Amino acid sequence: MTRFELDEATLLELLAAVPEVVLLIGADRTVHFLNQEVAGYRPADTIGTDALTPIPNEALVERDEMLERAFTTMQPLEIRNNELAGPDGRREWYDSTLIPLVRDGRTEYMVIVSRNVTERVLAERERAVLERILTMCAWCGKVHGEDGIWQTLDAYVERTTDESVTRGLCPACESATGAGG
Amino acid sequence: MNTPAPSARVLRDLLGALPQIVMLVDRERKIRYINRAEIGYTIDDALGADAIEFISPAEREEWAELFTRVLATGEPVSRLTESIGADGERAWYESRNVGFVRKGRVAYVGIVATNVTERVLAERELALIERLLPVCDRCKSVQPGDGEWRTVEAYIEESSHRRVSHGMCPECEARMMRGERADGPQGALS
Repeated sequence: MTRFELDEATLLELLAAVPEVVLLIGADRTVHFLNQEVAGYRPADTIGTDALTPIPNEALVERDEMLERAFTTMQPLEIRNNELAGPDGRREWYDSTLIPLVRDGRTEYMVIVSRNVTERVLAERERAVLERILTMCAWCGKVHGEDGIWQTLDAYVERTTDESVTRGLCPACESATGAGG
Repeated sequence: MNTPAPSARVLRDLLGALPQIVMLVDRERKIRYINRAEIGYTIDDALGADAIEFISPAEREEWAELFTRVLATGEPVSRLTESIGADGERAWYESRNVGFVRKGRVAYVGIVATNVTERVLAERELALIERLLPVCDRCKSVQPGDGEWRTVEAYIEESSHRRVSHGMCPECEARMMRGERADGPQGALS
C-alpha cells in the first residue's frame, strides 16, 4: 500500500478531534498552535502571544522554570493541577504534560497536552473544607478536632494555632456581672 | 510579530508526540494514517489494515454499526472500546470518532483513542472487592461465590497477595490472662 500523505487541513482536523487541549509552543516561548479554546482563550487570539499569559502571577516563576527545564533537558514533564486564569478572571485547573519535540539536538517546539480537572480540584477543596469542620459539644462547648481529643476551645486554639489565648470579659458579660460598673 | 502556521512536518511531529493514538480511517475502514503504534503492533501492521481487526471480537458488530453511523451522520461518537493486542492481551481505549467531510460527504473518520487499561482494570478489581461475601454466622466460614465454603484465612490467601499470620489481639490476650475463654470463632475453641 502506498504511503498516504496527509495534507495540512486533515492534520489540523485530526488535532481538532483530540478531546484534550493541545498547545504548541515555539523556542521563542510563544503559542504557535492551539487545538481548542482553553480557559476562555480562543486559538485565533492566542497564536503569537506569550505562552505563559494564562498562568496566574503567583505561579508564574515556577511555571516559567518548569517550561525552561523541559526545553533544556529535552525530557517530558508533568504538572498536576496546573492552574490557569482566564481573560475574564475565571480559574481552571489542568493536568498537563510537557513533551519536547527535539530536532537536530535541541528542543524545536514544546507540546503541552492538558486535561481539564477543574471539577476534581473543586471537589477536593470542598472536601478539605468539610474535613476542617470542628465538632462542638452542644452542652459544654468543648470541641473535637482531627486529633480525636475533646477539649475546651481555648485549649484547642492554643494547641493547633500560633495564637495564644488571653482572658477578658466581653461587653455583654461585663454589664451582666457589673464588673465594669 | 507574525507567527507562521506550523508546517505539515511539524504538525506530524506534534501528532506523533501525543499520548493518544490518533488515526484516520477511510470509508472502507482501512487505516490510512496512525500517529504511532501500541500494544505490540507496529505502524506497518496498522497501515492499510481494516480497523476492526484491532477490536475485540465480542465488540466488532457494535463497533461496525457505530462506524457506519459516523459515516452517515458525521456526528462525533465517544465510547469505551476493548482492543486486542498483538499477543492477545486485552486493552481498553476511550475513543472519539469524528467524521471528516470531503466534497459533501464523510470521507474519513478521525479516531482519537486514549489508553485507559489501567483504570478499567482497577475499576474491575474494585467491583470484585465490593461484591458481597456470604459469611457463616456460626463458624465464620466464607463462600465467595463458587459454592465452596472455606475459612477466612484460606480465602484471603487464595484471593489476595496477603498471607495470613496468626497471633492474638490485645483484648483476647487480656481475657486469656484473666483466665477467661478467648473469644475465637464460635465452636473453634469450645
